[in-house]
Amino acid sequence: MNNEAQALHYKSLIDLGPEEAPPGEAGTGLEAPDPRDGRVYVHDDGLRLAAEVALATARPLLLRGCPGTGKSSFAAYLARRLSWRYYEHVCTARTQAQDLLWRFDAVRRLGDAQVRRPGDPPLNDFDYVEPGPLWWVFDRQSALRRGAPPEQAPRMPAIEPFPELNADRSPKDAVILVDEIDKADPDVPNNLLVPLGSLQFQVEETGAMIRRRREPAGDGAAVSRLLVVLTTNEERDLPQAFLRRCVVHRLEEPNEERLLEIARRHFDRPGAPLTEEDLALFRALAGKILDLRRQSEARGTRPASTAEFLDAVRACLSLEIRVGSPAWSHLEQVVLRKGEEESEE
Amino acid sequence: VNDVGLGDLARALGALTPEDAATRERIVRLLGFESREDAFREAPPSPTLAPPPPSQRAASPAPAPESESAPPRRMNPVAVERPRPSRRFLDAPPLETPRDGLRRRPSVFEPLLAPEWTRSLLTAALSTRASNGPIDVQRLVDTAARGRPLRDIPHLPQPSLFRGAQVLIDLGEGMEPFTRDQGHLLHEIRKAVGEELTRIVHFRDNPLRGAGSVPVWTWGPYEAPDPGTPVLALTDLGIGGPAVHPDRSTEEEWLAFARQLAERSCPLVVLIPYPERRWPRRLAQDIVLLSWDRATTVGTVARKIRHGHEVRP
Repeated sequence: MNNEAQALHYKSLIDLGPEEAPPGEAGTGLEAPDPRDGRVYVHDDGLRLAAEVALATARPLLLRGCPGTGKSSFAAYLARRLSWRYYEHVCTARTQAQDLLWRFDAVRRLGDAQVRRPGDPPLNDFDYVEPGPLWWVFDRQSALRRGAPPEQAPRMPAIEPFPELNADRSPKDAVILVDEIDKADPDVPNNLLVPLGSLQFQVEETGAMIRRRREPAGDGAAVSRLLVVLTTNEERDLPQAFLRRCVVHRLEEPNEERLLEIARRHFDRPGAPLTEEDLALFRALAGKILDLRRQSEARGTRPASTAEFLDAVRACLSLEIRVGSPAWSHLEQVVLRKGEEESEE
Repeated sequence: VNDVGLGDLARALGALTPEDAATRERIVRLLGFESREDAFREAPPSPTLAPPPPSQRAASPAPAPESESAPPRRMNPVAVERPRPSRRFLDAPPLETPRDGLRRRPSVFEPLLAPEWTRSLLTAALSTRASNGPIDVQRLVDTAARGRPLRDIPHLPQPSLFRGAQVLIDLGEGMEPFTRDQGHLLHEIRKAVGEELTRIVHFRDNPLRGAGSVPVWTWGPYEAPDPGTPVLALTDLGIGGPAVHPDRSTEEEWLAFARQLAERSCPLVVLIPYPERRWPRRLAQDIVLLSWDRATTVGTVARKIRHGHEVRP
C-alpha cells in the first residue's frame, strides 16, 4: 500500500480550478452506486502527473490496479473538472475495435432499399453510419454529420452520447474512457494501435476520413486536448506493442487516511455536515477494511476494495448500523466478505 | 505508429518543465524509461570489491556528472508486472546462503513450446468462430438475388476467445516428468485467454474416471463446460508412464470422452509431450492432437484448426 505524498513540481497543462463542494450522497442509498458522473474523486499527485504526461505526449493513459481502486472513475472526474466532454466504452469479450470507431446499420440500409419506390430519392449511405466514441472525441462536428460532407448531409444528425453531461462542456476538448480493455479479444488493442497512434481512421462504407483536430494552445504550441484513458484489471496480458505506446500508471489501494478522505468527500454535504459520530464510523470502517485486506493478502484471496468500503459506509449511514452492533457482522458478511470465512489469524 | 520513445520524453519534459529531480524521475518512469543516475544508484554493490577507504573515496572523481548527462535507458519490459507475493512469503526469514562448495547452478527451465509463439499458438488452438466479422457480401447478394427474405445480416466468421477454455491437466504417471511444463503452460493460457475465462480441471489418466480441482478426494464425475467452450487437455493419452501400467487409459476411453464433448459442441484439443510416432492412430483421426514440442508452430495449428473451431449454434 503506497499512497506517497511526495510533492511534484512542474508546469501544469491543465487547470482544474477550485474544487466545488460536491453535491454529496443523500445517505439514503437511493443513488446509483457507480454513477460515472465524476462528481467525487480523490487522487494523488502521481495520477495527475500521469494524465499530464499523457496529454503532453498525446499518448493513451493506461491505468492498472486492483478492481475498485478508482481506475474507471478518474476519466469522468477529470472531464468534469476540466469541463471537457466525456465518452466511454466498456469492453466485453465480444468487443471489436470497430465498435469504438463506427457502426454501419446494414440491415436498415437493406430494408430501406427494398421498400424504395420509383421516384424516391436515392439512399444516402451516411444515414446508416453510427459514430463510435473515438469518432466523437476525434471530431465532434463530423460525428454529428455522420461523416457526410455538407452537400450530403444526413436526414438526422447522430445522437451524441451523454447529452446532458456534455451539454455545457467544451465542444473541442474531450476525455474518453475505454474501460476494461483486457476483457476484449487480444486483437482489439492491436487493431486500435493505428487509430490511437495516428488519431485518424477511415469509415469503410462511405470512405469518410476521420481525423483528430489539433487545437493550438494559447502559447502557440500544439497541445492535444484529448485524453484517452484505458483501464485494465490485468485479467490477461495486453500486447507488448500496445503497452509500449501507452503512458502507464498503477493505482495503489488507499491507506487509512486516504479512505477517510474518500468517505468524507463522498458523504459530506453542504446542507448536512458530517457529525463526530459519522467520522468515527468512517474510521472504524477504514480500519476494518485494512484488517480484511491483510487477511486477504495472507490467504491470497481478493481484498475488499474502495468501492466496497463506500458501499459499507452507505449502508451503515442509511440503516444506522454501527461497527460492532449486532447487525454489523451480517453487513460485513454481505458487503465486505461476500461469503468468505473470517481468518483465524 | 511508433512506440513511446525519446521524442515523447522530450515533449513531456519540455511541456511540463519539472522543477526537481523527483518530478523528472516520475515523468521518465511514466514513459517506461529509467534514468542512468537511477540505475547507478540502485546498482547492487559488487561482492568481490571491497569499498575504498574514506580518504580515497573523497579523492576519487564523482561519477555523477557522466551519469546525469547520459540519456535515459528504456526499461525492459514495460508491461510485465507479476502479482506480488503474499505477505506470509515476504515476512518469511530468508534461507541461509549455501557454502561455496554446495552451490549449484540453478536449472534452466526451457518451455516445450517456443516462447515467442506460445501466445499465438494458444490463441489459434482455443479460438472458436464468432459471427462478428465483416459482412458476408457474397451470401447477402446471393440471398437478395434469389428474392428470399433476409432474416439477418450474414457475417464472415472471425476467430475469437470469447468462449474461454477448459484446461484438463493430467496428473497420471505418464505426465509426471511434465508437471513443471503443465504449470508454465497454464500460466500462459491464463494470460492469453483470461483469468476468469479459464477453467482448470485435474484428472488422472482419463477424465471419465473422475475429475475436479485439487485436492484429489474432492473429485467427482467429469463436468463438461458450457456448450461450445473449447477443451484443451495436457495429457499423454496413456502413452507414457511405466511399461507395466495397469491403469493406463485406453483409446476407447478417449474416444468416449471426445464423443461426450462433441455432443455439447465443445471442441477438444490435446497437447501431447510424446513423439507423434507413438500417438494412437485412431485418436489422431477423431481428435485434434498437437505435439507439445518446439516443432509445433502457429502454422501447424492453423492447418488443423482453420480460423477457429466451428461450433454448432
